[in-house]
Amino acid sequence: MKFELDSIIIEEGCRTTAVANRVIAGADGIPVQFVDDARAAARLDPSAADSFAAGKRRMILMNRRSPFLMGCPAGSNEFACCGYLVMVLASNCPMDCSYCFLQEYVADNPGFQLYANYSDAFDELDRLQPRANGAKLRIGTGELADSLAFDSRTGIAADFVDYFARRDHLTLELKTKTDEIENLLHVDPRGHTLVSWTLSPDRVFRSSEHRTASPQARIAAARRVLEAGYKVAFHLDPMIAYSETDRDYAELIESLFSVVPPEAISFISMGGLRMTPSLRRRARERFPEDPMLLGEEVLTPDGRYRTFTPLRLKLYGKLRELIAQAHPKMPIYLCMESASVHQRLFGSAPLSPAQLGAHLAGA
Amino acid sequence: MTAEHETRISDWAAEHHLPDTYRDRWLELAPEDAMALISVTEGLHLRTGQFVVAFEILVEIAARDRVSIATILERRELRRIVEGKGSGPGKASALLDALRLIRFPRLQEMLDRLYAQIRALGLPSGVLVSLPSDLATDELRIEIAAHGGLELRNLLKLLAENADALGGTYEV
Repeated sequence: MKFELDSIIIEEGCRTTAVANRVIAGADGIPVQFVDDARAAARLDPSAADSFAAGKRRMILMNRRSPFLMGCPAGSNEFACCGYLVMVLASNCPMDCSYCFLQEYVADNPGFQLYANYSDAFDELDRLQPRANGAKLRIGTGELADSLAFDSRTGIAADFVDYFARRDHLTLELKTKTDEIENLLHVDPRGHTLVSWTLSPDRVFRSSEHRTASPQARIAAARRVLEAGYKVAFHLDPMIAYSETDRDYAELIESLFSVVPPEAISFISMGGLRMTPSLRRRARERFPEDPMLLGEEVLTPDGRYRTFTPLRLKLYGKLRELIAQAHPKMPIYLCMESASVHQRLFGSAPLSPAQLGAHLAGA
Repeated sequence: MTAEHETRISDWAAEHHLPDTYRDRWLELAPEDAMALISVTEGLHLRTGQFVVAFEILVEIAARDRVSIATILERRELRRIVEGKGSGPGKASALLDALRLIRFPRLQEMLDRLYAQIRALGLPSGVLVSLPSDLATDELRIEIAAHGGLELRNLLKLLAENADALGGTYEV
């Protein structure tokens, strides 16, 4: 996939870095501009009709001023969490899913920022000591940006795969909705990198996941990285409840398992559509015709609109059953759900975030 | 839209202190939608808050079902309310309930089913079981009304006997 850009802005301090050279070499007619401090370029452009969409088309290569590692921003004591650590190598995403939380999370800084000093992240990773019990840590780059979008221009992912290949106590998760995997195929991950895809039924893809690879293309890409020695995982998240959801998810699971053997999948996560009132308002403004944003979501005590609880539980239960039919021991976890929802679905209390994190990192 | 309708909408908005954003969105609707809405709004004497709720629900149903607001307001169950007998406030409230039912059909169906399940347990009148509004969580609220220790103990015993069934209300 080749995402279109309107401009590339490079901070002077990054001008001579390898990633800047690669980006400039591949600019292919896109205007490149150099600035002393690129932070202003990341801010929203009030003159644009859709400033968030405009930000996605403005690639900004700059130094990150904050730490690269952080706890997952979705994490909370309210939820049974998975102990995920996030490594922020970029911010925003060239794809444009109608339900995406970035519409709210980076609303004031929508420029697509890519951090040229990413090698500083290696120092932070070096400071993560191996745990006494040998448990691994799972660290992902796909929370505030897609892990592989633009990798054909930047070539960053392979550097990280190579770094993690030499760290037995760490697992890298590259999370994507693209099929941009070519750069991965030439690096040996030595079992320390997991590539995961968010998957939705074709109907949701067509209605809501603009400029992403099709579900079939994502599944085909997963098969290729699996054959190249990577672990693979899938996120059925957000699950959207519409009238044909059951049937469409059954077809999706069937087509996934027909290409990627279920025993070869490290884990599957599930999560329901969830939107704060302001995200919902923003999403509805930007995508007024998307029926997927108009399901039977109600305001829940955590301040988010979600599919009303029994229907959400029913969908989770159905999916869990479908997955278990193919592979009863498939590790499955829920994202941003309470311990009580976990208990109802799995019949047991959730593991602690540290335990679940270690389990998934080693899966 | 005719100038007369525009004036009616603007006048209603001004009299009811409707926020400008809603007035503007109303005026931006297709003429037949805007006119259908002012007819119902005036006919049922909707209050400002009721109008805002009705407006949002109508916009969402229209986008979801790809139909016009005028077409939605022509539905038989809504016409029956609008044209039926009864007080303005009663009809306004009934209209909102009917719109919610169109917007959230499975939610209402699920509420009906769960309450039927609870009723089937045959709990005495001293035990009131209620579900969260809009089924936003998986909790049950149980209220016990007892007059004295013996009645309380009996009700608690009955509750304990039905604990598994009640706990399984949301079973997947």
